[in-house]
Amino acid sequence: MRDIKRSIYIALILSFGIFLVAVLADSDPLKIFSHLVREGVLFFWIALAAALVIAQGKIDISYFGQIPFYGMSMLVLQNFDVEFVNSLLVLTLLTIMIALIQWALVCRLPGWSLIISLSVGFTLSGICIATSNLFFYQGGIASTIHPDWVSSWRELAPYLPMIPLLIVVWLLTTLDGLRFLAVGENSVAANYLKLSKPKYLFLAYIMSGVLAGVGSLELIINFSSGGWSPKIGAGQELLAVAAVVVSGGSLRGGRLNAISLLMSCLLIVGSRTAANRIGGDPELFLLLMGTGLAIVVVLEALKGTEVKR
Amino acid sequence: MEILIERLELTYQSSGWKLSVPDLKLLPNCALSLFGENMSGKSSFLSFLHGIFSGSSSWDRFIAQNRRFSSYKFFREGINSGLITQSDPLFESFSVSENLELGTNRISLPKSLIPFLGRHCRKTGLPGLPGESPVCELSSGARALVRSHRTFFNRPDLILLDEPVSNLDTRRREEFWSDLDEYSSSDERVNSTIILVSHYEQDHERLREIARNRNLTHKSLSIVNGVLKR
Repeated sequence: MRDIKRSIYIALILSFGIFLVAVLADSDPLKIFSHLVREGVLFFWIALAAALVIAQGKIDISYFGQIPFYGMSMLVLQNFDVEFVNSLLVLTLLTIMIALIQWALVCRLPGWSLIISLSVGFTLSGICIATSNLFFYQGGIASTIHPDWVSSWRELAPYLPMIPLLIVVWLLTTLDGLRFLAVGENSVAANYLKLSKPKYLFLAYIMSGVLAGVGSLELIINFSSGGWSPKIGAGQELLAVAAVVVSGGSLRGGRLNAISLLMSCLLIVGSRTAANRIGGDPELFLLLMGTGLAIVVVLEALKGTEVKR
Repeated sequence: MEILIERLELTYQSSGWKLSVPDLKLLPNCALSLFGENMSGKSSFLSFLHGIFSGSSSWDRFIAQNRRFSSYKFFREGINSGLITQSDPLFESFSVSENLELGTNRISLPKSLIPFLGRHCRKTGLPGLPGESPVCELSSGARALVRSHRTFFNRPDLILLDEPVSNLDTRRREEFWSDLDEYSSSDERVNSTIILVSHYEQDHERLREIARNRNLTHKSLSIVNGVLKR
């Protein structure tokens, strides 16, 4: 009930925001709305990826390196004259490998998830920047994904929303989905029921990896029409965590409300669009979002101390 | 459930605590009263049988349900047990019905297809306790009710009771023993073994009574100087 109320509040703020931006920027509210939905749904991929790991009480912000890395992998693969379908298979393997590395490190070093995800993110980001300096900007390969691959992806794109949809349905309607959230909320209680924390953490990282992988390709190929730079998607990782917090998810793990998360994705993307339309500074938007997130984290920590007392 | 253990040793290496079990045979349709002083290791023994013992363990022979175990991890996964204590934690932000569902031993089935929950469906909850109530708002008596029913829902072959009624009032105690009695007589129970740890003689007397009524064999065990004896 509380989550439904939160979703309604976010929807009301969003509608008011769209109307306000339309008036201020002197544009069509419907046009702004369709742009918002398109970008918001795209952002939902990364936000859901973050939410699944956060539901297990961990934080993964390696997406700032993952997003350009998958695009770069596509560019490298097309240079080797690999078929589109085969390139997707290679990328799937890469995604699973990155997810497995993160899961293995987090299980071995509990409590270090943020540092591990930062190191994975920086490593992938570093590879992208170094590779782009070596190859893509020296006349060898164009930093645009081949138009044939872009059109093949666009044929595939309408079916892709099935992936997050299936994950959300699994979370909301199955007993195993309920267990996934329960283990994240209280691992001691889960131990009494013999629920395996590593198993659900493994699932969280794999699902998050798949969402981040497909979401990255969707962003680069479909949304940016194949255009790539080593800094594509920068800042999405912070916004993804912000979306989870705004949707009512706890950074200490547990509950995840998919509808509320979708609404908060639309709200965040809407705020960004509004800042751009009105002529605000994008850096200022990030600064405000980061400060808001920090306040929420401090408040949550204080709430935790209160409970312990 | 049939369990045979030979030369079991449980230890907490950091504190130097140790419990020895020379040999133990648990039979189906059996109720056991386990006695011992505080800190003697009764709860640790129950947590070992439940598969959640966090110290180190070793044994010569360990057979449960005709299966020989060499690894504690496999035992944890292979045994269908239920542990009820006076304070085992619940999932605070989840509702009563969700906590009950989490106790069921069925994986990845749609909730509506879990037949065992038919009697206690999501909206009904427990007697006097609506299914949608969040657990964080419940009294300790109501929490005890959720704990016990969560365990019974799972139809365990081995029911481990670690002072389950210590913090309950007389009415709630009576309800707990009636529920256990009802469970022991129901079709859902399949050759269950019950082990009770309590410092109160009246609790053991209630277990004896249930054993008499339901044709279960009753035995007593005690832990003296770190050794489990008959």
